[in-house]
Amino acid sequence: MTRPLRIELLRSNAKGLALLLFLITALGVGAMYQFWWGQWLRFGYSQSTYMFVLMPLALAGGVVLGRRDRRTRARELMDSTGRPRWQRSLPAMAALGIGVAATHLLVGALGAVLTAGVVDGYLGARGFVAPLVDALVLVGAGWLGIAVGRRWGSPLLPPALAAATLVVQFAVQSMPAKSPLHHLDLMINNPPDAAWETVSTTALLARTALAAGFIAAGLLFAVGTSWASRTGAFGALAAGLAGLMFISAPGSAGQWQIDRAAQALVCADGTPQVCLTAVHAHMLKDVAPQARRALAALAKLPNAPTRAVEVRLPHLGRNDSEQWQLVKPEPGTVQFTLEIDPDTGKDPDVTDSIVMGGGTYWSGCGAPDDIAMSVSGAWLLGTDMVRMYFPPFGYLVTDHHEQEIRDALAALRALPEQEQLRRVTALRDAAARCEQELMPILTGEGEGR
Amino acid sequence: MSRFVPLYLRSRRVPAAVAASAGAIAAVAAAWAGMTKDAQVNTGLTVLTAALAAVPFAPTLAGNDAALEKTAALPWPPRRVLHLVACGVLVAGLLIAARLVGTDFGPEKALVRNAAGLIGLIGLGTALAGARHAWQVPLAWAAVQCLLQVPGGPGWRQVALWMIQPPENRIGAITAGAFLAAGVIGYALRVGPPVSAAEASLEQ
Repeated sequence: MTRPLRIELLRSNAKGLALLLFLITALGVGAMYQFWWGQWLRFGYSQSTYMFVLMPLALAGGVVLGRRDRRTRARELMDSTGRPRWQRSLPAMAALGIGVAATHLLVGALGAVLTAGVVDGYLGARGFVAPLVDALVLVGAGWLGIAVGRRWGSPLLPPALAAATLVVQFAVQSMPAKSPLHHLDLMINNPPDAAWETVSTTALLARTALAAGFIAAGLLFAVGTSWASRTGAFGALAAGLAGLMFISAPGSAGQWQIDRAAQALVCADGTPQVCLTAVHAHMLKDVAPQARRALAALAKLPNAPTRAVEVRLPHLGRNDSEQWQLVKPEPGTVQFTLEIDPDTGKDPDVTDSIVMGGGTYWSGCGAPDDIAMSVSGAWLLGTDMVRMYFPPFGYLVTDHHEQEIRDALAALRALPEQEQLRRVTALRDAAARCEQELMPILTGEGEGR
Repeated sequence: MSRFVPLYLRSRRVPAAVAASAGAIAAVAAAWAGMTKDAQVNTGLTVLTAALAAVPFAPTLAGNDAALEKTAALPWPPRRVLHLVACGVLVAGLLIAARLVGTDFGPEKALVRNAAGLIGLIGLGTALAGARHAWQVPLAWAAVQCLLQVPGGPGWRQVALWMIQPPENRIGAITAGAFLAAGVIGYALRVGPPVSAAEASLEQ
């Protein structure tokens, strides 16, 4: 069996198809590198969403191979050999299956090497499951294509089938999210909001059902000759598609779940304690000194926090910037989020963002008074300005309110030192109590009330 | 000449390709009308429909036996150019004509640009890899553009996502024009790599 398989690997379109799938995934995922660089779970999303293109191409690649057997009349030749039909079909199907699965797993492995090898990023075992399931979907699509190609020989069939599968997937996106037909689309339209979100068990099961349906239908169509096997093949295909449609759940909750290991805190050596989630732990070396500088600045205030920790959402992300400011910190802890600059792979504002409002920017109170918080942050750092980075908008607050912040800071610094400290401390305590009007505390306008 | 045209069209399976292309556009238009009341089809689906309408013409760019055709003492390059350009005109025309049944695939400029670029890529693919494989790159490229459908950005990105650029975008138009020119020249000169004698009598 090894020799026929080797010949098929060399002679069939398996290697050409594998190269095409590799190029599409590598270029497509590469174009999204700013989104996933250093983050294995996000790489998994980027690879998985390309199944929208890869599956139709694997299906069409199978049809091309199936048509080869038909147009060369290989079947007549093969039927004259004294072997069961499944043995005669196996080399071609195995070659195509190996080609598409190995390509998909190779891209996944490259992602793992780039994440763990280059930036020493987090590699969760769960992140390996989605590429495995997707590889099975590709194998099943290829085998189904072989069966179709052996039955219908028109040269129009491979391009028409691939294009039609793409169009159907794209067209069902226009249907309501709750419609089962909506789930026929393998493109993932709602990317993970938080870096620790991974493909949900429900989504994996739905794709596994599709893979099982494709594989069973492909085998039964290609190998079986009786009406019973053909009926079984149609049944398996229908069951696979039904599994994809009805096991999938709509929205982010159906697509993602929190990877607890990825969300667990990892702390830097030394004191004061600085902790990031495991998915961002590779950034600790860069973040810890900046966070400690911020903690040292905050120590000017009475009852200052002694620990800095990355904010962790207790729920799935809702693509709402305010959700990060609704998580209450533990006592004695200042929270912060990482906003990574895609060009450098670093967070440019760790120190500035932690000192905002005396460490209360992420105190569980929702959107704060950015201007007053910036003034108090700059006062604590002893600088003219603090710059908070808001991707993809850049330094939003500073860009729009720089003069206002400079004027308020100059007025604050003109006061006696004890008064400056008193007002900044009062602002921090008011912000921690979720008060919204913070600027009057700095200017002293609110004291007469 | 009068006998040549029907024989040529039949030998290239053109009637089946035209039926597949027109049928595909009609099916998308009907499905769109059934799913939404908005006549304007979204950009992603427009791009994919253009690809769906163009790829059935890829197998028409070669006959069943290239070696046999080579023996005919006919000036093939002008015929090939005419064939390829006619495919592009037909795809663009069918997409524009969908307005007659109430489905709008977008401005004519964008439809003509996308049809021209896709047909050019198919022609180039035929010249380089043969008609059997010519559909793969244009279709995959169109699908990837649907996935990353954000127009604008740096020049290289506009070249890569040329099909989803606004109709007046110069880079998108130049890219499509370059593909059409390369496809027309390439296909006029060559119909795929040479096929071994043993396989020459087999179909595509």
